[in-house]
Amino acid sequence: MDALKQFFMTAPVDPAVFAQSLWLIIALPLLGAFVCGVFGKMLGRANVYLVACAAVAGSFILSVLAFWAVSHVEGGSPVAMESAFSAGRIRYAIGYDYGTWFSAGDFRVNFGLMVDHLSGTLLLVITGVGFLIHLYSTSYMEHDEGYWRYFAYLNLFVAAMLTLVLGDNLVLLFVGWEGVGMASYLLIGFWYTDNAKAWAGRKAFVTNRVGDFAFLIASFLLVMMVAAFAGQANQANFSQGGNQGERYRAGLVEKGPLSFQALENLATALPVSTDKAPGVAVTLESTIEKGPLAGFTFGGVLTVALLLFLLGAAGKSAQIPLYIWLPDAMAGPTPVSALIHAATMVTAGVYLFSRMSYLLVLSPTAMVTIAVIGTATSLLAALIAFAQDDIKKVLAYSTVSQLGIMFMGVGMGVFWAAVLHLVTHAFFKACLFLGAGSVMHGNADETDIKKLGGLRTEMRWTWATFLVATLAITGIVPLSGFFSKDAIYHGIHHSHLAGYEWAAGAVYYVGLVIAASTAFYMSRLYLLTFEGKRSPEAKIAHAHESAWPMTMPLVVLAVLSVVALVYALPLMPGRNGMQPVMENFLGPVFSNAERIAARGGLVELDRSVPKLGDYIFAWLVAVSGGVVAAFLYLKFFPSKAGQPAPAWARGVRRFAQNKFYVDEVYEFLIIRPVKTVSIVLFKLLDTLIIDTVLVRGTAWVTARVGSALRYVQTGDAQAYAAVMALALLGGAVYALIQVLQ
Amino acid sequence: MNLPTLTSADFFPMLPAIIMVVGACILLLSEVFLSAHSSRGYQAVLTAITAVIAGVVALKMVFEPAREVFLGFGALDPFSSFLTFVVCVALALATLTSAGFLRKRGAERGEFYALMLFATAGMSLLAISNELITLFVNLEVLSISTYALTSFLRRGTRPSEAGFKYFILGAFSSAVLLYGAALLYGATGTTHLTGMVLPLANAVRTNPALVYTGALLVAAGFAFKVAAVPFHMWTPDVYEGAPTPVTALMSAGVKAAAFAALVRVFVTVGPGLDPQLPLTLFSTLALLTMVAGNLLAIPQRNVKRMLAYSSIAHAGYLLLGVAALFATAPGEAFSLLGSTSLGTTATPQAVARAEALRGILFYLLAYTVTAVGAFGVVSVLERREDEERGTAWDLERFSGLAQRRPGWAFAMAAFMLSLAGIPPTVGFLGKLLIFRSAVDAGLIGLTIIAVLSSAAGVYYYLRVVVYMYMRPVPEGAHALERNWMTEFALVVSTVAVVVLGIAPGPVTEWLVQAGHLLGR
Repeated sequence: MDALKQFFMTAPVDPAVFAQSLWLIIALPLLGAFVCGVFGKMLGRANVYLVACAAVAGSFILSVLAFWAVSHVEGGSPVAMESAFSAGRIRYAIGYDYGTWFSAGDFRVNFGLMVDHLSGTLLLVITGVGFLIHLYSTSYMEHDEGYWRYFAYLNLFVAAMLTLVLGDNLVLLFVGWEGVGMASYLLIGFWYTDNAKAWAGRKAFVTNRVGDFAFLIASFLLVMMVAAFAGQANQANFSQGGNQGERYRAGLVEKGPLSFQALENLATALPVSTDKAPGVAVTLESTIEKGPLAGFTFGGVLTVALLLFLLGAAGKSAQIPLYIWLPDAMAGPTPVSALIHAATMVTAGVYLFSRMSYLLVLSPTAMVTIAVIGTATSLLAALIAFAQDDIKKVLAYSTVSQLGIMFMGVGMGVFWAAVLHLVTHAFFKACLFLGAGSVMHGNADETDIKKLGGLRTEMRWTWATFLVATLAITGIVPLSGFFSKDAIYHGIHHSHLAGYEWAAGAVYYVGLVIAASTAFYMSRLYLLTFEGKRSPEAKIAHAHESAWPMTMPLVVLAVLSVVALVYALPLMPGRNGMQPVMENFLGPVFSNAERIAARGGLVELDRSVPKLGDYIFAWLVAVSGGVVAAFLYLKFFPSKAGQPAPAWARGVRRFAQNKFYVDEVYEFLIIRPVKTVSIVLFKLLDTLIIDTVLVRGTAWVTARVGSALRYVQTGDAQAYAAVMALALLGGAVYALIQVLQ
Repeated sequence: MNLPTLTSADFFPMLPAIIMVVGACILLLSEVFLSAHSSRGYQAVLTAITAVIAGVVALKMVFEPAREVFLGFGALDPFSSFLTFVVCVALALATLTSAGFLRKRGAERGEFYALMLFATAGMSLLAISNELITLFVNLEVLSISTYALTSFLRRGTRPSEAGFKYFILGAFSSAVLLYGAALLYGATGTTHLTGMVLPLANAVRTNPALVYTGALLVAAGFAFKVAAVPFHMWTPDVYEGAPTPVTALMSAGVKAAAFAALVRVFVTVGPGLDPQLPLTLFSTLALLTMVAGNLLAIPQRNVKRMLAYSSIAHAGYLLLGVAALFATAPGEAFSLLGSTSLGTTATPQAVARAEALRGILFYLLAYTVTAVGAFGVVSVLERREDEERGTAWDLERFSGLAQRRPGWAFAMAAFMLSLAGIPPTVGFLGKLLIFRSAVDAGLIGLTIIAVLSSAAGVYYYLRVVVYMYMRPVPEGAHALERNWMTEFALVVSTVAVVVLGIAPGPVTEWLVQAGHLLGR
């Protein structure tokens, strides 16, 4: 055991040296995207596969090294990087600053990359799952003519996602944020000749723009807040004493206000109130003195910024009110749904909040809003999933629901569990999506689960892996999904947010309903697809199993869905006895958040480990949902075949099937009014006033005046001289008048 | 006899002009030994090399400290040196386009290049003239050379008509300028610009009519040379009738030299005048020139004529920069090109003036590379047979050029965008600098008009691009002959237009120096 530990704690490369080549992790897929996109058609199919897969594989190897490097411990002291903002060093992190990207006045953004345990984990998920999905795609897209476009986009996506995770400041994160949004748009509308699919892409893009706008405003608020803080803070703010204030301001000049280090040090130096830290000039309660935010308190601005970030995250991570794009995003190729709309991109919101955990714990209001939004989204999506018949739609709503659970975790301060659920969810949801793709591939692109059935014998590998993943998401012991979800629920149940004491209980009990619902709809999906008899409405009589490049990733992901449970087991020694592995591993990342929370007293984070009783209770909840589904779909409905269902049941079903008419409500409340107003504006302002009167009118008048002036140009030299003489005379008269005055 | 003692340092500022005159003499002499059918390809190359040498020398002189030379008759300062560089660039590019142009017409002669060199030498000397008589003589050197160049192609009526018109009207304006100079001499008793300041201040009080009329007439003489409205009437006719490379040299070089002289005269004697006078004068000229130049260019289908009107419009923008020199209430200055060499102790007015000077110089350089290139494309597309019918420069000639000669079309598109002032071309930066210095100088209203009128200009510039890229090749379009020298000039201009538009770095370094004018 110790030898194993020693092996993991000794990186094969010098971390400080390796930090300089972090850019390669992004550059490889970016180069792959360039090669595939520009030369793809020339290179041919096999070479494009090779380039695209090799780029991601190379990135994966580098990510493994990076992950290794941040776990490096030498002589008892872990790897650490210099902080530009304080004398302290950031433990378990490596980073490199490639210099200024742009600056304007005092504002500066550096091109800096950083890996710590949080981003290292995500690196592995992105490149690892990403590679498997690239491999899977080589088989899935074998009949598609646009293969080179597809792989270029997919590589571009990986590059953007890696930028999002590696960036050491909010601006670089936003670059990745926008990049993944663009790649997602391109891939949803990949079959752009189909109007509905192109529309789905557009819907995703526009919905995300709403969120991105909020993200930008939030960033601007943070910039102004940091500037106000730097101006008003006194020596007492910086608890470490010495010239920490000077150091902080020097760091702002060097790395800019939006670097995560700046925000982390700001959070550390910003106490809740003067009672807790006497002599401090700036607290959450003090008002900003100068600038556009003058008069607002720091705490208020922070909460507003975090709520705006929530709106941004809701766009990317498909939460209320912006979740509506994700189910439609299933129009893209299935591997894309697995990679972008299940495993990686949609978890960006969870990453964002985990990254800024230290700011979050300063604002219980923002936290509780995140938790409530997550809970509501999760429940709504789970209920909608009850009645969906499209295999990918069920998985899409399931993704929305699971993301909601992660948001619940983040909102209630169980950051490590949310990240763990992010990882396990990436494994089993990617496995489910790829399994769904395999089902579609083997059944002539049939997606209606009512028209499938009985695939268990015909697609053995797909069946086995799908079953494992279903059990994992349902939360059956001993699969990873059970532990990660339970870790979140346990944490929620024992957390306290100052002023929102009701939240822990409410979120927890609704969460149990969500867990049971998840078990129900996932079992339904599995049973209708794989068990029973083959539906008479099936497109083809017999399904065929997919080729190895498709089944191999399924097997790997299914195995990962099981073994990831290790992360949740309390194996590591912590302060209060044994700690789950993931909590211990992510400890350095969230240690500041915990320290700030403990000092401020606004948020009480729970460190206890679930007991056996908790486990059994959660397990019973999951099993009950599955049992109900099994009874209904294996016994009850088949026995009632041919009899019409009662009217109320059909009504409820229709309501759920139509997604509770949320799209229609949006259409009525937002899209129609906006469209009407814009049509009126277009007709009135654009067509009439601008186009006709201003543009054409000015052009017409100008052209007429120009043509008229031409007649002065007679070609007669005497006339020219006369004009000059007259002009001189005019000037002379003017001069004379001036002189006489 | 009382001979002045002159040292070699006195001749130093004339070095570029001397080089060019020597080159011209070599060309003239060599022509004696050539028969009518001898190969004359080397002449253009020789001229271009002479121009490049002179230009490099001028560039070196940018870093010389400003001083008076020739007993105060000349002024060596970074401003004039940079200007000499600009006219050398214009000459080199125009010469290269001439080679193919003249060969097509069987009119390649050493005299042509010699005249171009003489004209450019005159421009260079005009830029350093610091005394009214010297100034007038140099102005005539360059004018007479360009009169001859205009009617160099004697076949057909157009060149002779253009040359004659230019000569008559030019003589008229020279007379006006000379009369103005005489009145100023009468008011002050000296023709030295630097010596004129103090007496002028007295004369304004005792005999204002004399001073005002003199200044007005001098300004009118220059306004003719820079083609400012209402002294612009000759421009379209002359520009159209002159051989296209000569038009290029006139629109870039003559204008630049005239601006240099105008700036020197009015900035130097300015302190002796009521500051309101030059401001009003140049603001009015700028306003009229910008608006009328752009309006007149809009209906033109003749590209050469359109470029002539466009050159009037650009003179208007430059006049806006000149007006900014005389601003009395400069606004808050911010610096795009790095700090001036004036140091931190300079007054805001001095900083604003240095900024405006640099803006003018950069604009002249930008306009030179762009306009000469644009005329170069015009010159390769025209045919002598069409000239009498007047269709040689019709927009139709540009139809489908992108399919026939994508390189030329791209170059022309770059020139048009630059003339319109659209990034990432050098024309955009030039406009930005001029307009900004005008805003700094407090000429907000005039700048708004300048921006609006330049927006109107986009219409006729982009029309050329539309024809090149979006119209089919007309039936029976004549073959396009290629000429390596012309194409070389086009490549150089295009690269300059784009690269300087993206990274004006090295030029701005010289400009930091060149915003320095003697005697301020």
